[in-house]
Amino acid sequence: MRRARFPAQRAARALVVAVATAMMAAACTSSGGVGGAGAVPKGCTAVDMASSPEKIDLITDLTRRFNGSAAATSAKTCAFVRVQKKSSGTAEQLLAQGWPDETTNGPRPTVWSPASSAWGAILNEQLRTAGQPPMVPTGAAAPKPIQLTPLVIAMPKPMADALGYPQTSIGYGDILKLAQDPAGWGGKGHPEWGPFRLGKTNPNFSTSALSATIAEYYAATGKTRDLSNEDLARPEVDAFARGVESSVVHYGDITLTFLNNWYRNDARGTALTYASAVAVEEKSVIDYNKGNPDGILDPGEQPRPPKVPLVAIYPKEGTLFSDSPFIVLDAPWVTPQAKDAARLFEQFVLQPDNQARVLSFGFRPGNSQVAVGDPITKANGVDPDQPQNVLGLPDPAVLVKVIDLWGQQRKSARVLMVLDVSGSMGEPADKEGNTKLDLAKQAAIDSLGQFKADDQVGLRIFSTDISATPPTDYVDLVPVGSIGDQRELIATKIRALTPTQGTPLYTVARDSYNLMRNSYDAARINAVMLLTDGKNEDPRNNNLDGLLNDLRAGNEGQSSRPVRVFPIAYGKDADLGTLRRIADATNAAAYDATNPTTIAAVLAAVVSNF
Amino acid sequence: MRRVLAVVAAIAMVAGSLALRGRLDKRSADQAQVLRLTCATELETPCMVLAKDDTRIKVTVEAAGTTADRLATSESDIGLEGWLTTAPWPDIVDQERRAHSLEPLFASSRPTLARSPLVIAVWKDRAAALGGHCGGTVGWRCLGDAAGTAGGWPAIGGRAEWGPVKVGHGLPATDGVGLLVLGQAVGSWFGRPDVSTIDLDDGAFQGWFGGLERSVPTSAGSPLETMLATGPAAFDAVGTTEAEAGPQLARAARGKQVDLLYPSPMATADVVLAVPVGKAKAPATLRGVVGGSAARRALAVAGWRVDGQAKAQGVPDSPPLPATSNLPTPGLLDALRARWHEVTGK
Repeated sequence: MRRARFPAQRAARALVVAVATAMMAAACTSSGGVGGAGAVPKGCTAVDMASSPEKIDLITDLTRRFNGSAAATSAKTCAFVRVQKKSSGTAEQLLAQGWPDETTNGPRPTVWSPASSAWGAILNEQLRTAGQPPMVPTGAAAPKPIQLTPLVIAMPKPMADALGYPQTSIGYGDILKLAQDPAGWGGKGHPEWGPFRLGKTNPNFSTSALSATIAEYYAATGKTRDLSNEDLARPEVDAFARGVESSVVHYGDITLTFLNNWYRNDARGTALTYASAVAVEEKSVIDYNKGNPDGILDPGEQPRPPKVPLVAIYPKEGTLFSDSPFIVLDAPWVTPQAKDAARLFEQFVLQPDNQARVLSFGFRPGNSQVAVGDPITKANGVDPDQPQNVLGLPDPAVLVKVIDLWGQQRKSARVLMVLDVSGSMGEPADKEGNTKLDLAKQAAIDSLGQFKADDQVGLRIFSTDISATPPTDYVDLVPVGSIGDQRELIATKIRALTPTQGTPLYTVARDSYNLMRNSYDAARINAVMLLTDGKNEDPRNNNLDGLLNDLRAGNEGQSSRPVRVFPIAYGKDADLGTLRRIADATNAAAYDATNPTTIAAVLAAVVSNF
Repeated sequence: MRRVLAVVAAIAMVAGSLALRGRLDKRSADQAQVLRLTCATELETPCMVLAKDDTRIKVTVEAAGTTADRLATSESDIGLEGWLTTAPWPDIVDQERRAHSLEPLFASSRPTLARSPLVIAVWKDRAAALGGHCGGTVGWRCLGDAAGTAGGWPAIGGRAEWGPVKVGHGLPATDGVGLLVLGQAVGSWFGRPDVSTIDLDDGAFQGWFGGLERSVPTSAGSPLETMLATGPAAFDAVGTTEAEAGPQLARAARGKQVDLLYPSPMATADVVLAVPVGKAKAPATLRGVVGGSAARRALAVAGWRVDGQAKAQGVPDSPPLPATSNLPTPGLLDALRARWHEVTGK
């Protein structure tokens, strides 16, 4: 009797499960939400995912295929994935703070996929030192990689040829020698290329920069694993790191800034004098050589391969892989249901069919069942048989120390902060009644903390006829000088700012640029940080083309004295298009803070260039 | 009379319903009984099959070393009715408990459910270079020598760009198989599995052991999976079970570039179900499930060798398995864990 009934009970249970599964599948399918957009279908569990930017197109594509598919349902749950783009360093910092302010920062993620598992180790270490439990599983439960891409040194092919690559292997030590050779490329028979210029991003934000900085320290020690805090403290290691950093053109929050600038210079025939080498991920070399430097094709955009392609150099000491871990967070806000739902997406992403899509985006598959193939080919400037050696990921405490040390060893900066105090800056900007100027002032004061003591920073404000004596359109409140000596003075001056008249944008851009160029210091990153909320409103100087020609002329050629202008378009009336052209003319980048409440994050990103 | 009959009938109905209720409750309790099965990480797949087939089984997947460390000092509820792992982890736990003046946890009767030889997966070009260096046969002793060589591959006949010799295995502190591989390697150095803890103080051995273990790169996940996904950049050779390597190599795009070596003398990882003494019915029930045909099939599908079951793709018919595991004693393996911590600082 009992035997007869047990199968019936199991059958009934199976039917219930099947019906529930079908209902959940129907619920998921009925939403019409694709790509993680739209409301979560009834009966489904939302899986919020924070993804690093370089793979956002891929993850969005996979999410679109997953949501509503059979793979999104199981007997237990129905998953609906929503993706948001967050740079690895930014997400790490937000998680370390418990992901505050979801309105500004987006929903708290269930899944985090930074570019490298190094960020997970850093997060756990920071939580540990704060007396909190880890959020990233370790040991046997360590997250699996979605995809892989090695860090490489991207170099224009003629330059790589001049160094004898690939017949001659190249490492970070060779880069240091070149960077410190007063003859620059002249020592390799190419004086027309000027000094050796290295492009590198900021390891507080960028994975390629974090990996490059780790590789730099390994090269300094001669080790390939187990980098220690004792190693980092050695004087010769310090000297090596400072030597490499001294050749940096400027830093930045993302490598795409360099690649876009390189591509624009390529069109003008000046690619070889903008930068000699940039530490990027292998995928970026493929994208660049295909004519898609930022890896994102806008609708209707036709990729056009560059005249001078890049070559991926795999450093002879070894390199690190960016492994894009799929991290289901052990965070207080992540429910067991959300974890179950997240696992469904993980299984989907790791399926061989979807791993083949990973390859089509220029990454190496994380699933070993899928072979590395096109587009990872020598024809695209990369080598599927490289790298031959991987550097060991240092212990979490060492990783944190690497980032701290870089802040001291990085190339020093010389920056003029130029703030718009035109009348429109007095308009309300948020629900608390703060004006645009109020928010900009606080963000500018906060950003001062990112400069190191021997950086030089000055403060200029501008508005029409702000001064009774010439030049009438701007006032230098604090001359450029050591921020260690005048950090508080600058902050005090910023606090006292009030809105005044119109926006003489072109005049202040030109004169600020000229000031920094005339006092150029080759040992530093020379830059202007220009925050404005409007268009040029100066009838006395409305010549944009003249301004752009002046800026461009000063930045081109092997003997140029490059001063980068980083404009910030602040508020909805800012002229972002014009500001982008100003940035492009100086091989810098324009930043979008058209939503005034984002100004603090945007200013932090701008200062990451220095 | 009618009233009496009515009362009797009522009493009978109440008694009957109580009896029925009791039987239903009993059956319900039997069916609701949760059997907590902790599985070592390398046995996750077959355990998930068991849990899917039998809803009484609640599976927790955990690295064997992590489970062992918890059980070694646990004085109250140990949180499991059964532990599916590789031998001799349960004996390591009980040995540790005795050292802590605690009662042993597990019943001594522990049949072997499945077996798998310990293997070395090595890139073919590296295997050729090692073969020259090792005098034809690549084993752990020679591999350890190579890994500890300061000059790396060029010093032992390999190519300069291969860099240092990178040998991998699971972390012996936590990974169940990792410790067994280390035990096999140590047995290989001494030329016998019956190594004693006093042997570990041998100066030549310590140099070899330190050279090998300090050269093992850190890997977040399975070293073999990392090796197959990243190519020779991460690992030149990895020690693991045939159960992991055979099916993975058969599926992997780079699988044909890798040789599977069976170091001599062959040692095996043996799957056992350890059940705590003093539990009432649960052990017998679990033994029935885990020893049943579905479980045996699941183990075989996962790459383990199970008598009477077809082998998984990639698992060869030979070499034959030895009569015993050929691993050092539980006490020696436990001592090796401690020695590994000292040497690597991890």
